[in-house]
Amino acid sequence: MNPKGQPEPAERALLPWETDGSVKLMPRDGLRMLVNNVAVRGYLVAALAALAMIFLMLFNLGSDIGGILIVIVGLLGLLFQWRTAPGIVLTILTYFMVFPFGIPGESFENRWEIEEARFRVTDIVLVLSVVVYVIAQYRVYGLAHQALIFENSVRRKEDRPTRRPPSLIRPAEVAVMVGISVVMVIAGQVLWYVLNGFEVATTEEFPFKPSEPGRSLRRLEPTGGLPAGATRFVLLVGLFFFGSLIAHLIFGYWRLRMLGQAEGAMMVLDSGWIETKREHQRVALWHAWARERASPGRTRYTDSSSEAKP
Amino acid sequence: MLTARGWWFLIVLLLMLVIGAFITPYFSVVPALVSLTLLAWFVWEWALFHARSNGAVSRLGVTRHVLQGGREVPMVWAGLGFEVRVSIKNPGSFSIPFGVFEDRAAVATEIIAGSKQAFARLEARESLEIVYTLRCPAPGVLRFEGVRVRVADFQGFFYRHVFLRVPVEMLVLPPLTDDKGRQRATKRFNTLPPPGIHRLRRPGSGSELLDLRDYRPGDPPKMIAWKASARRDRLITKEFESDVPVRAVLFLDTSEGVRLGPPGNTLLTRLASVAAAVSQAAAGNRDLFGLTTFDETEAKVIPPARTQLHMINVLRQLAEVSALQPSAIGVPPEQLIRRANPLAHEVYPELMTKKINSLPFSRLWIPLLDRKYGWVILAMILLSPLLLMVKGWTTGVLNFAGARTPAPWPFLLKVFWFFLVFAVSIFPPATFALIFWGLHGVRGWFGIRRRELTRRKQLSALFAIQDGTGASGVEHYIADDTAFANRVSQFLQRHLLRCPVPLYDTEGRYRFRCPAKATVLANAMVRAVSRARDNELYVILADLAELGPDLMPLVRACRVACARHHHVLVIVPWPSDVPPPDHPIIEVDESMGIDPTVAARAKTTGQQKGKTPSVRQQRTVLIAAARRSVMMRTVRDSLTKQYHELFRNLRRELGRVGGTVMRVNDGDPVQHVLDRLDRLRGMRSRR
Repeated sequence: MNPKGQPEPAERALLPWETDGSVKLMPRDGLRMLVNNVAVRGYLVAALAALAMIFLMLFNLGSDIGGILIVIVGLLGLLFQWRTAPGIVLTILTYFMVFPFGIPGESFENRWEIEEARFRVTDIVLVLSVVVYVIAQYRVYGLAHQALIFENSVRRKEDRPTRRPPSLIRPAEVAVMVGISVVMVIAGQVLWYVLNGFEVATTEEFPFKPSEPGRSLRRLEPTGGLPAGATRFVLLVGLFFFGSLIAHLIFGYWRLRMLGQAEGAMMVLDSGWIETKREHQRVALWHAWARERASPGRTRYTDSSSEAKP
Repeated sequence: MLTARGWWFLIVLLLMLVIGAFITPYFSVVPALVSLTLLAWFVWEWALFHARSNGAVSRLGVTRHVLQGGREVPMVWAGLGFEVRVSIKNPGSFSIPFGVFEDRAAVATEIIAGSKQAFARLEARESLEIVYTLRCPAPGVLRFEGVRVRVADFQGFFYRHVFLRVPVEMLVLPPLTDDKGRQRATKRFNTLPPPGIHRLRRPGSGSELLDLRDYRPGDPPKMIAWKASARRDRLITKEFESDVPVRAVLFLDTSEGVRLGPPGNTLLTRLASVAAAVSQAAAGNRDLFGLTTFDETEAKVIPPARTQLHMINVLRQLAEVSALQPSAIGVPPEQLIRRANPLAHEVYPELMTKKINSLPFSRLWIPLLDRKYGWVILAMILLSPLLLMVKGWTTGVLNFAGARTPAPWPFLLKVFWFFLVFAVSIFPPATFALIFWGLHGVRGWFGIRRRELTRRKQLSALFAIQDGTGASGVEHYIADDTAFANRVSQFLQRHLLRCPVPLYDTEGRYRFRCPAKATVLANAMVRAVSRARDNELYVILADLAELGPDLMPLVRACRVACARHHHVLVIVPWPSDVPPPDHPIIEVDESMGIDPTVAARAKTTGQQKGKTPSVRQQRTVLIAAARRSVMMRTVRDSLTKQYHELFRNLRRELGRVGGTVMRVNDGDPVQHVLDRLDRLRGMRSRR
């Protein structure tokens, strides 16, 4: 009873998606969560908008079948929590970008495509839509089905997937996601520009120089440099290699700084053991042999790895 | 750290990049742009996750508070709920956007309210609190290991699992008993002495008249019985009984045999609960009580007293012994590994990773020369060059190799093939020996041998770190089965995890009979008798039924105690799956019906493979089940009869010398002990 003497309203029972993430959602509950929960609905709207934009872009390119297929797969992936939906969408997109009508062999080769496509607005919008869709799809999957992996190598019947509860979604999360997508789209454009905007100059002091217009058209390099495709490959591999090297150096050093005492001791022990394991193994076997000699009635001592019975 | 989902996504991106950047860039650059953009985003997420992992997850701190009755306590009472508050603080400058924080609750407890798990977002320099209420039904020791933290990014591409180890051990004291409800409320004799004392029929300063005797010079005048003196015409003095305290000594069996069973439901736990109830009731009556715990090797004595501090000491001792576990001697190392490995991975995940606790392939190789026949193989290799002394051997092998080299092959291939055939056939015994050597050694790289050795090495390295024995300790535990079994047993006991132990040895004998405890108990009793001041009650809480002929030392000790007018009461724990002695045993009848569950199982046999079982199959299953059921009943009834016989022998042997034997589940043993104390106190009193 409240102070006015009126009965308190009955406490509302928690909806399945309002519980913690250990409760598995049935597919129907997952659908209801997408529609009813305000925070999750933001992701749904973003993904649907992205799918609509992809359809429009593909329709504009004359690839209406591809657009429809992508929308269908994307929608089904969102509604039924298909983990493989983004991969299928990316595959369909790649196919229909090469063969717009969906028929193998019917494609348009443009020798100026690489140079004309630099910072093209339609490409930027299409890429942004795809990125937003992929991120939203994976996040919805984590909210509706599974966010944390199973830890045991053998799956058991009683294993339940762990979701991310919608209550943990921050208010500005969708906006941040779109903002990061925009930044990444720009980064992707810059990367593609770098990969095609330089060429290997073996005779120069610095082995790279800005490429001349129309260079991407040349299949072979008359001056002894690398052709366009090989230059792209070298630059891409070089970027990956040095990027990952720097990242590993930074994060590896950081990780070493954060090592606990026990972890450090284990590293030292493990490396010491690897260097001396054969000698220690021999000594341990001799000790076991001596103990067995001293007490013949006791258990036999064996090295389980070598089957040695001294 | 990269999950399967992350790997698949990365593979799809790389394939798309290869196609878009190198195969189809002249048709459309969109695939290349999409893959590069998604790759850049993937790298961004990777870097962000690493930063959060190092800057926040690795720096988390945990504090724990246990509250009972509204205040923080160092130990808790069994049967009463207590609140656990775990606070997780993130002192770093990065936030954890999504994490699952799970407190590893102690074993043998039940959650009454709240949840030990929290799905939360932990901001930088903020704390998270997990609050839940536990109840521990039985006395013992609680161990809280720490908090398990699992973090992932929003997409599920990256994952990290850490365990914040903050081990806390707490005693669970036996439950508080209602001592007033357990003792008699009606006073039957006016002469009943006040609580805490009883009348001893020796002259003393009590209030009950014992006897009259002639006056001796020095007797106080107030003790003179004037009326009796007048009647007899000489001075007669009154003698009063002596009021002395009642003392009870509890002997609690803590041997291996009573430690068997699931946590919180062992025979030892039940005996300890009885001992605790008796102790508290005795303390409530202001009687003195002592506790002696004994096993196969030694006895620990807490002498009788009745202070509060003594009460707490006894309860602590009972709680500590309730947590004892059977030793794992005789358990195969593989079984121990299967038990200890998941625990080690859960509690010490960072020390069990292959990155820093590795096993190289060279260690998995099985050395041939550790076997005796390995030297024969070596001799075959070393003596093979003697074949060169055979006339024409080299020429013959060269011709053989030349004849086996195909003519149309390219020159370099022909040269390679020629030398290969020559090398193989020049020394055939060495070739066969080397092949055997290789096959012998490479067996260690595959199958269960590799798995078992990998787990054993990782556990050995963990133990070596904890013991500080270094690299030699690792090989010591790998090579010595007994040392490894002992260490794993210690590890499991330390973490209060029970390991299934074999009950019978290879010759079919019960491994936990513990005959040596009879001698230890007898010595402890004789010691207590030698220190006794007046009539005392000895309560033996022990599993003695299995001892049989080894009971004689205890019978002799009971005889000594009863000869000194002490009382001996033996309370035997009774296995829950054995019917009581007065319960009739149903004789095995071959025509008894079959369990309906078996019949149901017979009907479903073969249905898992999508087939309907035939009548013949059903009949076969039913007959096999019936045979098994009959055999099980026969064995169970035989064991029950044997146990009943042993119990009757025990009762007869101890009853002959004046001891009373009862079962722990026969009525209320606590009430029985209190009645005995009343009898001891009032001497003439009875229920």
